[in-house]
Amino acid sequence: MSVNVVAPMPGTITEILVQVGDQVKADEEMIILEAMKMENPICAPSGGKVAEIKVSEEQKVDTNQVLIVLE
Amino acid sequence: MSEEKKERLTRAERLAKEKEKNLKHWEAEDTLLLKHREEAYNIGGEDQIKRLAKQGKKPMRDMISALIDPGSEFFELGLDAGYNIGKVKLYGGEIYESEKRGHIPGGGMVTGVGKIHGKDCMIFANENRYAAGTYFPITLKKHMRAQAVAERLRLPCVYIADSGGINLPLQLGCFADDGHFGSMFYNMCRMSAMGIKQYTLSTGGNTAGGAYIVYLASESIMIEKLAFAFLAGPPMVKSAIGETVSPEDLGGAYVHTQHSGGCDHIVKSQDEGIKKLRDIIEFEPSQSLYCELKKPAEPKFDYKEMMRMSPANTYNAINIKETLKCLADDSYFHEYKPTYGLNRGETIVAGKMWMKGMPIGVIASSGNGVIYIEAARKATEWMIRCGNSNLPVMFLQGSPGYMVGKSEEWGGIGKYGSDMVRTCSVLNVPKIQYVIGPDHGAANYGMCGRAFRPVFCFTNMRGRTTVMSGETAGFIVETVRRKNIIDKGQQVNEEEMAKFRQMMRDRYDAEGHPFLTGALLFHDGVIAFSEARNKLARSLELCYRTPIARTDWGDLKV
Repeated sequence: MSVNVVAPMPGTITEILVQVGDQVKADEEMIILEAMKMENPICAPSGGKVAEIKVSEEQKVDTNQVLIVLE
Repeated sequence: MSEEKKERLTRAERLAKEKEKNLKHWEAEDTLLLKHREEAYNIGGEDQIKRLAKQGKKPMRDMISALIDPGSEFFELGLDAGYNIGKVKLYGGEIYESEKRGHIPGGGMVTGVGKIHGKDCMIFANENRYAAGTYFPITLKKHMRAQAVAERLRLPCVYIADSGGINLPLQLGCFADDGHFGSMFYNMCRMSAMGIKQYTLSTGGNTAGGAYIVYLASESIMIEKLAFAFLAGPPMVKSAIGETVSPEDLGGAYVHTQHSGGCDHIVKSQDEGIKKLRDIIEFEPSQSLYCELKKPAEPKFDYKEMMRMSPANTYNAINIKETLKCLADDSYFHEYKPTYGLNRGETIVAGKMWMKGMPIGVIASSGNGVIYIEAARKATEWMIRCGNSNLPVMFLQGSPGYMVGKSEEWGGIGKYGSDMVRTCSVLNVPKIQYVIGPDHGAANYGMCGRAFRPVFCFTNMRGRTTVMSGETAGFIVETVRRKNIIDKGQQVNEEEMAKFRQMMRDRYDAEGHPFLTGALLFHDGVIAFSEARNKLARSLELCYRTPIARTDWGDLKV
């Protein structure tokens, strides 16, 4: 079963900390999203493997846009 | 993963890793703060102390120490005023610089609350080690601010006067407007009419308007051969009417206590003057505490925990409950609607707690501090409940602003934000603001910035107060400039644009710093982590010196 990790708010992707194939633990930081001047870490909702990264650094994203697919 | 990338951690691991780093960071920042204060404490150095000693005078801070009850602490306000004021890009900045008065640590006077025979009094003392204690625009702002606090809390006022009056080259910013020199006297008269006593000890010159600080007092004291009060000093008298007269014979202590009757008591020395002030204030009625006091209890966590849990970067999320547990008695916080709105509600934490036995309502930014509709609604509801329960409110401000964007606008963030601003405006209980993080945009309003008249307004070294971030401001102005250049058919110089962006970033970073906002008295002082609980509790105690007034809420939209 795959899990979509989405942006909680619109902003800019400043850093992607994971690569496709990485194993992540629950609550591990995967992406830094800058929004409203604040650095917001986007964390894994559960443990899993990074199946897909749908964004790139510097990219602007919208609320609920899928950033990463975990499986 | 490239070298410069952040190490991938869970939030818990990140926190564990950064705790000690945060602690070190804030220890260094607070050391910087304490050093910053030294300049105001020791303005003029040994030379000025010697100069005063020759006249039989002590520095004002020594006088204040002698005036307040032994062992009690002077609760100083506005100590950060005036630092590098000539460098600020604001009305008057250059004027200070051009008169070679560009750096006035302390702002030209000392103000704060001290206990005299157990009674809290607002104390004003002219800084006679700098420019003869004359008033600059920033000095007046500081004086007005202390008078406003005294009036709000009904504290007796004690003026230790030694001032050359308005600093003449800067008269334009000192004389004629509301909030200028005349307002000092206007406030004295009105406070006196309200039953708030005004006492003056003159320990030096009080020339022209400055003489009124002696005459308008409820009771005043002058020191023989040290204090003078006259509408015009000897040189001006000579030029106006050709009369030659010594300062002592024109307006010395004996003149006003024996002949004019403008002053009430004559003493022989500063020490005697201080004793007389204390004797007078002993007659003041004792003050109440208008709250139900619970047995005080120390928090289970000390201020170092607060330092550990405050990210070194202002723009990283903070869990404010970690701060509250270091401020609250027994680390006990009663939270209102803790689950409401899930992560959209949790950027404001609302609730109540006790500090040194006194109850207080709390509205605190948490996480990234961005105020969503749910957070705004919760804050509004809680302010209404605090107002209806006569509970003073402390705002821990760390919000970069209200959430923006189409979905939030359609949902009514403007409306709910304005409800929060309205509630904060009309809330009639005493309010205290403590900035602990980003302080930008309308969040400054809803979270009770200076314009919303908190009784006390403080920041810590983590606070940053500007309309927006330098990044955003740079972006907006750059966009406008680019459009103008393109509209004119010209080529954008990318190098210049990059320089401009950096300039805006640097400028905003500098302007939002607690030292700069303090220099302009946008707040009453920078509070070190180690002082936070004591100073906030002391503020609260002062807020409970008057009965809590009820609130009329006005036209809320809800």
